[in-house]
Parts: sequence; structure tokens; C-alpha cells
Amino acid sequence: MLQEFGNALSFIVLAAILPPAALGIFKFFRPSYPHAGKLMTYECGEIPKGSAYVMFNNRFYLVAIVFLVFDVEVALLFPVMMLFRDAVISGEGATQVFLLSFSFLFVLLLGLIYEWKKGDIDWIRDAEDRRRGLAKDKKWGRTLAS
Amino acid sequence: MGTLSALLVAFHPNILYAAVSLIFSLLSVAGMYAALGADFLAAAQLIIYVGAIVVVILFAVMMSEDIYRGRLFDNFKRFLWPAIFSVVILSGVVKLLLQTNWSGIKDNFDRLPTTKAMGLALVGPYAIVFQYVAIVLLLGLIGAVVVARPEFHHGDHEEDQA
Amino acid sequence: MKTGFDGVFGVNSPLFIFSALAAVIVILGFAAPLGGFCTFIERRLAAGFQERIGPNRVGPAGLFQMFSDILKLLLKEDTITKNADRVIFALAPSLVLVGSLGAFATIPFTNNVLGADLDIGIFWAMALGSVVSLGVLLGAWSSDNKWSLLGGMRGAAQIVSFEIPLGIAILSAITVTGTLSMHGIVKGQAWITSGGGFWNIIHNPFLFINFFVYFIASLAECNRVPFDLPEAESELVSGFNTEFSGFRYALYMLGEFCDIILFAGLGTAVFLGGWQLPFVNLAELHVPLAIAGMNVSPLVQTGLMGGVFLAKMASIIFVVMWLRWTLPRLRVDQLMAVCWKYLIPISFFNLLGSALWVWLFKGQSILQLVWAWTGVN
Repeated sequence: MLQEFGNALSFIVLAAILPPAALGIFKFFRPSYPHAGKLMTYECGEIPKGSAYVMFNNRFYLVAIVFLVFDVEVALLFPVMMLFRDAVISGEGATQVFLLSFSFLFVLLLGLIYEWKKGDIDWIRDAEDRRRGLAKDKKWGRTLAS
Repeated sequence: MGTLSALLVAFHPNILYAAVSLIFSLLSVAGMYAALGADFLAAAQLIIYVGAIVVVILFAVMMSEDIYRGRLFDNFKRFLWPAIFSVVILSGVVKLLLQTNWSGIKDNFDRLPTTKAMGLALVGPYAIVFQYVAIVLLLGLIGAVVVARPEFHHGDHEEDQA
Repeated sequence: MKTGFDGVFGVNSPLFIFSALAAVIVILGFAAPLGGFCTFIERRLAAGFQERIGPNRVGPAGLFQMFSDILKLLLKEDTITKNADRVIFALAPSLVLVGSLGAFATIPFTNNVLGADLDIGIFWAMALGSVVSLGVLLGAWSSDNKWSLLGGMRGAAQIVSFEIPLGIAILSAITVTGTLSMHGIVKGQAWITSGGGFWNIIHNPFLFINFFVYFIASLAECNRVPFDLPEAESELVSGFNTEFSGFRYALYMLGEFCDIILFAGLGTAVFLGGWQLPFVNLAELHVPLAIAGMNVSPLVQTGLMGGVFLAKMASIIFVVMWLRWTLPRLRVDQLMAVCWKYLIPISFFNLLGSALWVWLFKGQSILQLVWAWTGVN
């Protein structure tokens, strides 16, 4: 088993070495003529104003947190699901495994439903439009301008 | 590699570099788990910590405007309480380390694979804990979204009182 | 433990000792150039779909195009903008590559050619797949470009949220396989007479749908159409790749194509039965053939199995490329809605369904049930 991890590690190490090695080797063959225009940040031809580190909308953070919770859930479900088939075939404990794992899943599903209803997983637009009471186009679900 | 990255995490003045070194320290923790034979834990560590938590931390770092302006060693008085706490915790950990019987590990090496055992534990003796974990996760989920909910500034009418 | 090339050359072959190292080098030496080759294939296929001829000048029928591309990119000037964060700028593409190439260790190409037969095989592959999001995010950040950052954050949010339906789809396949080891998963999909349940995708209807959930989620993971908002923004000359030029850009693209190959490989292993073919059990082929008087070397067997696996992988990659030139791009809020409002409920439901099926039918697939019902043997 340890040897298997060693193999996996060598894959990772080799993959990590590849970019710097390639870049390093070819450094000798590359031209290098830096001048101010090339070194400026690209902004479709205009000169950039202000630093790039501006504040962003917190919906990204929300998505990341929700993902974190569901990721932990999926990771925890893996060993349980692995057992499920053996429990079924050997005939004992299948009910227990099933009920436990799906109640685990269900609890988090409740969380997802809550967020859905509250509009937290919308990418902002819908919830905001709903709050403003804007009419929705019945067929395509798009908000009408009026 | 683990200690170096951990030191960088704690002390690097540029917070983003600190976050990136966090990636390496978590990777080395995963490696340590693998070396000790906890295969499932190593992969779970990768998925959860490196895959999810570092992303959350990076998003948080990237969204805080002023976080680059602070210098770490400005005000030494800030270090008082953290130092006290870390000494307390460190002494506890050291005591634990000294008390454990380390010689048993080599003999248990062949009790792999761990995933099945973990699964059995989760539905067996630790089943209630498993359900509690679900509830804690739910609390974390709802709490986080309630706290991080984007605010609407156009005259909100009455929300439902839930 | 199946590692490297055990059994390919026969255990008594002197090459046995180097099997592990050989596996690493061969598989990586296969995967990375395959990624490069995919860029060429993509251009040819794109040309085919658009009724024109793709690159066909370099080498016979243009086959050496990828070499000229790589050479050109390697020799380009390596400009890094003044305000960019050099260390992270250099680090980010490596993270993407580590994520996709590292997981190649667990793809079961054949019975014996498997980089690392971990007992948590599929879990390990998923774990490394989640490292890719970091590469995108950090690359965008270090570019010191507002639009790179926006594209990168969206990209990271997209990659990260689609990992959940991906995980759940794989989880539903695990209810059927009962093991996380890749080798075990493929072995469990043998033809009925060899005791398996045949390919997981037709094991039960829930897994069938979950295969498509897996497919869609893997499209989003690789930033492919219809989810290529982070990448397309770069076609519109903004997006997380903007400041990366020359070989660094090539590394990102290579990472993306290797990701596609990786998910195609995982998909064939978990859902499409890996190297299993109907009616024959390739792993045991030498037994009946030996009885028939023919001696089949393990090398031929390996070649056959590898060929089957690659063919299945290639068909998935073909569909992925086909979709690129067929479907329009989704807007970012539609994209997130697809993930959270459609894929996750659907995959949860199918997970439930698959578990119920396993419970009711004691883990047998539709084919096994039919077989038993018709009373053969």
C-alpha cells in the first residue's frame, strides 16, 4: 500500500517538475526584450487605472462555503457507500446503513432546499428581482423590464 | 517541507503567500497521513482541506481590501494573548506526545485498508456522531449563508419572519 | 498489488524490477503528449464540423502540428507584467498540471498497467481534481488584472461547485461497486458469465442518468463548452489566461486537455466498464486460447485491454470536442443554476435510486437479472 502511494507521489512530483524544467531549459533559447508597453497590465489597449485588487461581490464566497459543506458530506459518504453493497449481499445491516446514510444526506438536502427558497444560490439577479416585485416572463423565466 | 510551509503560513508578511504556503503545509499533512497508512484520511485531507478550505480562505483573502496593508510585526503588544494560548496548547500537545506509546505503530501497519473500517465505524459505534455531524454541517451551512448574505439596498419590503 | 507493468512482461522478466518507475514514465509520457495531441485533434475536428480543413501541412496530414506549436510557444518571450506576483504566477500553471497529471496514476488502463493501485483509487483521483481550482484562482490573482481576477474567480467558483455533482455521481456508482479501488471497479464490470454485472452505465437506470450528470459535471470541471465562461472570456481577450503568454499559456491549455482526458478515463473506468468487452473476459483470455492451442503472450493481452480502454476514452473525448462546436455558451448565473438547481437534485435522487436498487436486487444489474430470469445456467 505504501508503495502505491509512493507511485502516486512520483506522478505528482514528476508533474510538478515538468513546467519549471521545460521553462528553465528553454530559457536559454528565449528572447528577452522587456519594454514598458509589454510590462503593463493588459486592458484592451487602455492604460490601467488603479490597482487590480478591488472588492468583489460576496456571492463567490457564499458558493465556496456551500461547496465546502457539501464536499465534506460527499467525502464522508464515500466510506459508508462502500459498505452498502457488502451489507446488502451479506444480508445484514443493510437497513441500518441505508437509513443512516440517507438521513445524513437528507439533513443537508434540507439545507439546500432552504437556500433555494431564500434565493441564496441564485447568482443574485433572481432574488433581487423578486424582492423588487418585478414580473417574470412565464415562459422563459426571465424578468420583464417593466 | 511541512514545517517550512507552516512557518511561512504563520509569519509571512504577505498574506497571500501565507495562504499559498498553507496549501503546501496541508499537502505535507496529507503526505504524512499516507506515510502512516491512513490512506482514506490522506485523500480526504486533500479533498476537503486543499480543495475546499483553501479555496474559501483564498476567496476571503482576495475580498478583503485592507488585508495587504497590515504589517505583521508592527505592534508587539498584539502578540500577548495569542502567545499565552499557544504556549498552553503546545504544552498540552507535548505532554500528549510524550505519553503516547509510539512503538505500536509499526506493528499495526498492515491493518490497511482503512476505508472499510471507517465506514463500519460510521454506521456502527459512531452512528449517532455521524448524524450529529450532519446537523453541525447544516448549522454551518445555514449560519454561513445568513452571515454572508448579500445585502439589498433598494427599500426591502417586509421579509417573511422565518 | 497491481503496480506498473506487473504481468505485462511476465513476472520472471528482468524488466519487472523497473515496473513502477516505468509505469510513471510511460503513463506520464503518454498522458502529456496525448494532451498535446488533443489540441491537434481538436483543430481537425473543429475543421470537420465547420466544413473546412484543419492544419494539415506539418508532417503527414498535419500530425506533427503539436510539435511545432509547442516549440513555438516554448521559444516565445516570457513576459511577466511588472505588477504581477512572480512567484505565484509561476506556481499557478503547475498546480493545474499537478492536479490533472497526478490523478493519472489511478486510471486503470489495463489489468496490470495501473500507476498506483490505491485502495481508495477513485477518491484519490477526485482529490487531485480539486487542486485544479486553486491553479485557476491563483493564476488569475497573480496577474494583477481586474478581468483576469473576475474570470478566475468565476472559474474557480464553477470548478468548485461542479465537483459536487461529480462526486455524487461517482458515489452512486460506488453503491454498486462496493469498492473504491479502480482495479476493483473495473473488475466488477465484467461480462455476466465471468461473474460481473457488466458496465455500470447499464447497471440500473439511475446510474444511466448519473453517467450523464458525471459527463456534464466533468465538462464544467474542464472549463469546456457549454461551460467555458472562464476560457471564453479569454477568447474575448480577458479572463484568467490573459497575462500568461508563451509556454505558461501552453501549460494551462495542456492542463485543461489533460483534465479532459483524465475525466474521460475516469468515466470509462467507472461507468463504461474500463477495458471490459461484452462476451469475452479479456483478463482471462489466455485460458481458453491456451486450451485451443494458441499461446497468447501477456503483452498482446495488455495491448488488447489497453486498446479497448483507449477506444472508449477516445469516444468520450470525441463527444466533448463535438459539443464544443455545437452548443452555445451558458451565462454565469445559468451555469450556477444548472449545478445547484438541476444537477445536484438529480444526482441525489439517482443516488437514492441506485441505493434502493442495490438493496432490492441484491446488487445485481439489469443484465444479470435478465440472465437469471431466462434461466440460463
